[in-house]
Amino acid sequence: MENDVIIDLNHIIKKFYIGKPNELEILHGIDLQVRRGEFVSIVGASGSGKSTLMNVIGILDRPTEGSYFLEGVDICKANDKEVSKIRNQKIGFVFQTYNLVARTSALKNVELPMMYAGVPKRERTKRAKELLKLVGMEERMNHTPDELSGGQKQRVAIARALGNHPAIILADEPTGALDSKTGRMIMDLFHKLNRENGITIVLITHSNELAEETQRIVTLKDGEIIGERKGEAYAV
Amino acid sequence: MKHMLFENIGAALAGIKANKMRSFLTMLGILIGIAAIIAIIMAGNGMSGYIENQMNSIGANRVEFYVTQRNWDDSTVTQKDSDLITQEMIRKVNQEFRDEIKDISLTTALGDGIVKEGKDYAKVSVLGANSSSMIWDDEEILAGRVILPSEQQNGANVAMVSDKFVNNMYKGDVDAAVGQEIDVQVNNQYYTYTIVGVYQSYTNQQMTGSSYDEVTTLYVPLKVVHRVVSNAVYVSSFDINGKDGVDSLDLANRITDYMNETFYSNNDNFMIDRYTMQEQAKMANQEIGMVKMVMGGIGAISLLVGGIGVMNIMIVSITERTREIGTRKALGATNGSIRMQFITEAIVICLIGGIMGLGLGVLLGGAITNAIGFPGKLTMENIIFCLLFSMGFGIFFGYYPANRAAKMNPIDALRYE
Repeated sequence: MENDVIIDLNHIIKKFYIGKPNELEILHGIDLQVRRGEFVSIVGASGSGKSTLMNVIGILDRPTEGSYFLEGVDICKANDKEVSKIRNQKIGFVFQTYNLVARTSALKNVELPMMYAGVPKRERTKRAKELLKLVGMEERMNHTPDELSGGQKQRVAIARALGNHPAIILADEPTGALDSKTGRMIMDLFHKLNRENGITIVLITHSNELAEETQRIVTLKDGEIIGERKGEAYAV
Repeated sequence: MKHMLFENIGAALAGIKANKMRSFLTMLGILIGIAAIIAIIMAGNGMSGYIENQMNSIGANRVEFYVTQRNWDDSTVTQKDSDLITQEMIRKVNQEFRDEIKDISLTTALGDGIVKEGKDYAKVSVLGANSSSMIWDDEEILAGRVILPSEQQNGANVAMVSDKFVNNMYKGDVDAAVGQEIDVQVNNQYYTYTIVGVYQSYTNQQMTGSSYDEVTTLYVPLKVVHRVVSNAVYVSSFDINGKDGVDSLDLANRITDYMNETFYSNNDNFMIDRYTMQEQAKMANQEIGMVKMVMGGIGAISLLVGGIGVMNIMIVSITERTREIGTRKALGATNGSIRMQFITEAIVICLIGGIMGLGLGVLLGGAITNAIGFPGKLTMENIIFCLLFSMGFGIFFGYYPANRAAKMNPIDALRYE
């Protein structure tokens, strides 16, 4: 189990405006594997293609060429409805801007992916409460997003991402909108979830400092992986 | 999909609550449309009920025959006694059609008069009538009895008065009124009658002002009036009631033809025409139908405008919530569940508008039917129809915006500012 590959990207090419004069190739053949229980960071400057790569990993977008297996499922062969289901079941998104649903309590926000999965009301409320407790937000579960601070919102978002026991957490600049102290707390939470709960995390960031905390750093430049190494904390 | 219904409704209500003013204005078109439709249904039902009631009380088989001018453009023609209907003609008609005629009602007016007793007074219209023209149900006789055939025969000085007459003269005590002798002043002459019964009168809708001034009919035996009115042998009109199962319209036409051929073939200026309850009811129903169509048209236009308003606000709402839609998609919402969420929202808006419209419509319809005097009715089917109709509007006008939301690209939606 420890070593099974969850994300298997093979020679991923992503082009935009295909067939038009302004055709643009953003990803030039990415090969990347992520194993269960890993905490991987993908770093790169803006324009390096890391957002596009994140969209491909999160199946918000499909690669133009190449193959992508997520827990053995061939994503390229899935239709829209199946893709929605895979996103729902296997991927937990954490966004830079939290993206909690407005006017909806923290509890209901955490229940959302479980609702789309068809988990019965009683069961999903129970699990949502457990998850909010896990991220230390059980006290504020009935608050709406506008009553929460940035760090609190991000913790709710993390709880929400965990709802359906996803294969991976895909975190896109999760501390980007937070001050350094709160950002530290969020990173600590990710470490705790990875260490204690064995959750696989892919962190997309432009911050080398944060990347050094992770087990493996994948560096992206101009749509290509230019290097892979262990994070400082794990380097022996 | 079912497990999301309540979540969707809850989300829709939260959205409506967050934008109260906007939501209310959006609902207004639906509200007015449904209110107009409910009001016309009530008014229409009330009027139809009133006509039915009238037909039942007068008799659906009743036909009136009257003398009318052949050419209305000729203003030199004046009506003489010899142009009128005589008792003899009526007798012959009765004989000729005796298998089909149930009874003939004859009335002759003595005139309007007043009854005074100290400070109390009541205005009456004295009408001599035969038994056939005084048809009341048992519950319409509030006290005493009807005028007996023997009293008709003898021309007894007895009278039937209305409940309003009793209100004015005897403080509403109907039992006290029976047996009272009253002096009726008509054209400076006094006539003395004994009250034998009190009948229930229908409210005169056009009547305003004091109830003292309301004129009600005081019935006396036909012979009593004929004794006084010299030319009572001539009448300008008379009513018949067809026997049950007789086609009254056909009978009316045959009697009219018979009278015109037999009595009026030599009269260049006048002829007999007829007027049936059936035709009147049909005409009234046609008029009601017209009113319904006009009001229904207003309602329909309002609903259409309202529906477009709902569609517009849904498009605005969806644009505002682009990021939410992107987020939901990232969390695993299918296109179908996004579409369902926004259609549900449109349905909720329309349904709330519809329910408020129903309330307003009931008030409006109640006010209209009160003003014109027929009680308006609203059936459960009418209510259910209106609510289903508003929901249908929600689906129809919510579909396009909802579909637009469903088809959003999650990447663009998430990046939307």
